[in-house]
Amino acid sequence: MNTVNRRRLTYITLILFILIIGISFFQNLGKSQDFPLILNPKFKYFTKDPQTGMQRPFLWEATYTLGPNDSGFLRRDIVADNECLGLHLYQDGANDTYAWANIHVKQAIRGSDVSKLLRSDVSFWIYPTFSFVHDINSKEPWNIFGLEVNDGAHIIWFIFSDSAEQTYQLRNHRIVHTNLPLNQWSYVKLDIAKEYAKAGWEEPSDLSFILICGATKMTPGTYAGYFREIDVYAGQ
Amino acid sequence: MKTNEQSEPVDLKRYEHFTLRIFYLFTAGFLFYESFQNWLRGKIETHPEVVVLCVIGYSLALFLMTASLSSIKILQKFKIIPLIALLLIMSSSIYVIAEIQYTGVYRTDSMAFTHYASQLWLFPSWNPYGHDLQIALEMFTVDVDYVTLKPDGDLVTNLNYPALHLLFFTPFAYFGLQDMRWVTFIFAIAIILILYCKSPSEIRPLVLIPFFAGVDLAINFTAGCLNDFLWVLPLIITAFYIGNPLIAGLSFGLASAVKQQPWILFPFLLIYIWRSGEYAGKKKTKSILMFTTSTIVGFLLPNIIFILKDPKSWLSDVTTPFSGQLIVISQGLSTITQSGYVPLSNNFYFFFAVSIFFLLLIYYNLYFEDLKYAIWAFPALILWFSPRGLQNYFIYLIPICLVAIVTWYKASFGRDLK
Repeated sequence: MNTVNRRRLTYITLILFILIIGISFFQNLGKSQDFPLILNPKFKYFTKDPQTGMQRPFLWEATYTLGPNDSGFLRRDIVADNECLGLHLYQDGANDTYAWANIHVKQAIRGSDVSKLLRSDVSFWIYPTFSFVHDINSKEPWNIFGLEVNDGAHIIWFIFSDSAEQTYQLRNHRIVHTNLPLNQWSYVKLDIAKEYAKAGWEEPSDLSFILICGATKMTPGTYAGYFREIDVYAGQ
Repeated sequence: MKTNEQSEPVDLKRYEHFTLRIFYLFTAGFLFYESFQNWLRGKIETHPEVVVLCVIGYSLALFLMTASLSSIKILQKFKIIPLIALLLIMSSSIYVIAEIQYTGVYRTDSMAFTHYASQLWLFPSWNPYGHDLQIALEMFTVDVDYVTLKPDGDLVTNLNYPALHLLFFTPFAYFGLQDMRWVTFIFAIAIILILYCKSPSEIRPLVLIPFFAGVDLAINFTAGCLNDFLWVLPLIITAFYIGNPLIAGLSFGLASAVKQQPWILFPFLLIYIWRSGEYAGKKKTKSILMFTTSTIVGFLLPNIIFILKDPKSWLSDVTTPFSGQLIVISQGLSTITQSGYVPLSNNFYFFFAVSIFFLLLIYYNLYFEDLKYAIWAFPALILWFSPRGLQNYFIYLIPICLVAIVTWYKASFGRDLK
């Protein structure tokens, strides 16, 4: 190929390249793939928590509220042939400083990610093993297995058990109980934004997404609940 | 009056002596730096072996610094010392970082998965492709900062490299080696020695300087559990023997059987064989066929058992990096998106990298005489525009570029390959 033709080909390909990249740029601008809202949603890789000395799934924070003779732990379990995260708790029923013994497994969601989460479909597989119980008069919960959404000022509890479905609010604490069969895997979908709207609360700027298993001294005993695979489908 | 023929050897000798002095001094500087780093990070109060390593490091550095300013007789007598010193400080620093600073913990998930896969392949003869290897993360307590995420937040827990990656570790796993970093280190030593020994004596003192110019390539990435030297070794053989389609093809196939990065080079190598003067007078079609066949043989040899066992899983795992199933993390152009400044989809960067690939393919063909040896830098250039342009995708090409420079030097002086 002579120099003139070579130069022509160089310019033509370069112009074509710039055009293609330019078109591609404007077509893809604004379609950025967001950083995932919930990390390690399948609860892989259990690591030692330096604060508690216990195991926890990688990228999740685990906190325990336990009386002197209560106990709790997290572990990788296999339940009905499915690998999952197991929350295990023992409430001795003694009159401890705190009425509750509970385990929190949480991730913090901050800034613009909060509004993304609220507009997303949040679904997960859950395996409840005990019924939800509350005080008949005050309706204060006595045990819980499910999800807590906590923005520092307001709390929503999504509770899953075989008890009757109900939603109610105690001051800044909203309780959404969903009826699910015990001792089997169920796939549940949550609409966190809808509950915020129903409660009349403003959307928060930060929140904690907490998997929770807990019981008060009113309901002593051994508790367990299992989670696997949280799916977050970002809304528009 | 001196003729050109008479003055040339004198100039060459003078140049050789000068570069040797520079090499002595460069090595002294590198030893001072690394010995000081080892003194800082080596917890000398509880690790007497680090004290010994520091004393040796500083002694050698002082000797080399003094020797660099001594007579040429002394320089020539000890000219192997800088090479030994570099290898010694490299191993000392890798030991201090890996065993003391990181307490033997694997830093990357890829090292853990490959090590675990080599054990499983060896003992229960179990095919690691298509399986979840997450247990390896716990077995080797992988540093949490270096676990790879998918766009949905899930962790990558499959083996996403071709099979030679794990087969290189298999014999060492058989003999119970607990830390595969040392296998990567052996490969690094082999690369350094090949580079040094195959270079003409007058450029030998200079040839290792780019390798040791940054501690990431020479030390930190090996200590930090990156395995890239495993494919760099066969690829430098390709670069040295580019004129021999059989050896070049076989070694290129082996390099491609370790990691996907060398795959990018394949069409460029075909152009090289077609256009290069080294193949002038030979039947080019035959050379291309020989190169392609030996590449396929080199690639399939270590992979074939795994492909036959479960072709779908093998293909799915090995193509993970191209399927967009990894999160955007990069020191390349996509940093502008990663940092949140310019929101662009993964597809844009993938398309950009592919376009650069084709543009380079056209220009390599058009300007072959000018770009002949630039081929070895192309993977870095292409991957810099991709969604995942990581530091190791760039710096591990330095040894291969060095081979190209040495080959170029030899070709321009009409010297035969040793």
